[in-house]
Amino acid sequence: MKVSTDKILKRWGILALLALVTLYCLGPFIWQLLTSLKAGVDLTRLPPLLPPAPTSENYVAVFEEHPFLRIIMNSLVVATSSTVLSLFVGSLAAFSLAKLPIRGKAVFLAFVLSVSMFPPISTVSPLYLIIRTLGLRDTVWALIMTYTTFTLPLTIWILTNFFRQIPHEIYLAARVDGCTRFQIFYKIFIPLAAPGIFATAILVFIFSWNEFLFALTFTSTVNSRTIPVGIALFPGIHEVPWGEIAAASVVVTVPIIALVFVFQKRIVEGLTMGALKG
Amino acid sequence: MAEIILKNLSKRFGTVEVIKSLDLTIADREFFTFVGPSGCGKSTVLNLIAGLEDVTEGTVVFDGKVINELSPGARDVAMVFQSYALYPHMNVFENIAFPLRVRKEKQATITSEVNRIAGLLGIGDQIKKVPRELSGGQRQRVALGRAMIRRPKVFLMDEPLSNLDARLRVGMRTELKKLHRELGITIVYVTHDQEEAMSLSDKVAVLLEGRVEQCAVPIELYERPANIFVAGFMGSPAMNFIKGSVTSEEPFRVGPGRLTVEPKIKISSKRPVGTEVVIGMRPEDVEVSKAPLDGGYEALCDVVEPAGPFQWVEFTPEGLEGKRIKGKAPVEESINPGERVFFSPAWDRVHLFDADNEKRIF
Repeated sequence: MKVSTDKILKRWGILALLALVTLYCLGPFIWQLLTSLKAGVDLTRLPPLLPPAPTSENYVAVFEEHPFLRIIMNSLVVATSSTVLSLFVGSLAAFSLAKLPIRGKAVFLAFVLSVSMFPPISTVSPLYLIIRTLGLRDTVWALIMTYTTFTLPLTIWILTNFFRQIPHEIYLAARVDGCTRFQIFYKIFIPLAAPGIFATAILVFIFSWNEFLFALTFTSTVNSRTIPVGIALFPGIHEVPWGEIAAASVVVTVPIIALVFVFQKRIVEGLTMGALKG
Repeated sequence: MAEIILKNLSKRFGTVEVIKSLDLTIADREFFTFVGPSGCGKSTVLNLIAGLEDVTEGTVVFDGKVINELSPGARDVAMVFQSYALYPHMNVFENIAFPLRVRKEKQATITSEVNRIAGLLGIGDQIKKVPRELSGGQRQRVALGRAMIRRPKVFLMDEPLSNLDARLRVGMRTELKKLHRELGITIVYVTHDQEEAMSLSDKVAVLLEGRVEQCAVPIELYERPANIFVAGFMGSPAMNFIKGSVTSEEPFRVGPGRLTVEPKIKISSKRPVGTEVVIGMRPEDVEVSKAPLDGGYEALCDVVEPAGPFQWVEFTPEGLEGKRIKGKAPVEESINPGERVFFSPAWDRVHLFDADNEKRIF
């Protein structure tokens, strides 16, 4: 019976480890959630860990005392537009790099990668000047342009690899079947690379949703302010509204989680399709 | 309905010349096969005909029209690939319908055509399945269907059977031949399998390093191979080659030492005594027996391979130590390795090649 006790121990050990990792990852979010439900002095007291009198007043305050709905809309517009633009340009570039006879592909890919190596802080001043010259200061366009540019290398690299995995004979077959190169791109390659496209979309969307530095620099009013900046500007002169900050954070995290879950299903579907060998 | 002419066709990738000035005519409704070892450029020729690769030099002519510059879609060719290259995200119906969809045909036409083709190929009940749910043979049929539905002028096939298991391959071979007769179109076929080439084709071009070694009907390749390469490549098991020299002009005799051969064949250009030659004899033309044969030679048996109706025997001829020759013995002969045997080549079926340029002598 010694073997089975060993097995049980092993199983419990693994479970404990999993619980620990989960707690480590979810901990901050749970803390945030608990904080958002506390009010007044409870906010700064521990114990109790759980809110003694759960309240929704922080959530109400977020929307009533701040233009938070507008800020969320700004973020949605910026993140969605950046994702669409980045994927549109990036997938076309990736298709060309993966399948068309172009000279200097490797050099181009290396160049694209090198662009993403500049730390944002080093580009923020020149970018600010460019955006001021273009008259785009304090508009969502300033952010959409910046985010599209900064996410393009990632998009191009991921999608180039995905397109390369599609057998060349499928490309040739479509050519013989009478497709133009662009038709091959959207009729065959986009559907086949769907898992990669969804994965990239999530990454780009989350980047645009969370980005703080450029958003802080290029926006000045609620016209174009996005969520991370909006929340950072909650604190007043006399107090830091921890409850409201927590509530706002929870509100803006939920859509991301929903998004990931929805797309994750598609990604898993795509990966288990496994029919690329045709 | 297409005659294909390749004129002085060359293809270079960088500095590597894959196809070296090819001149060929593929007749209308012919089943034409390119056969050769891997790397001989046979797939490249197909891609040049399809328009998937650009021609470096020379012309591709369809029915008198130069089509070098036409895109693959505009050439009215259909292609079947080794890996089938089905579209994994589409079901069988959509895969077969795809060329028509690209051409923007009416839905009613598409439906009736796809159903007709699927019925013809015996995959009518698989129409809703996606490629990964199909067996190799069924995928092969879908690939054929996708090619057939366009009613192309020319069918191009790049090793379409080599991903199938042996039994299925022979079955599909018969079906392909039947299909060719029924459709009455030109088929250009590429394979590395000489047996497949022989059994399917009206005409075969044997390629080596981008050059045509011989282009002829299958039986001629077998009976009158133009050079040592073709002789060795066509036919299985491979032809036996023995180095020798001309020992006498009248009567014409060749041989290495004791194994003197008197080929009973018409020789148009006899060679002087001493000329280096290569004697070729197919294993099926070499009779092996335990009892002495009339005009036979002695040998030592090395390996015996039963093949059903007969057995292959590999032996070392006396006086030619280190040289192994394969011959054929009836099943009744119980020959064992290490035993003394006798062999006798069919003199009227012996091949002679010039040892210098490797070309056929007669």
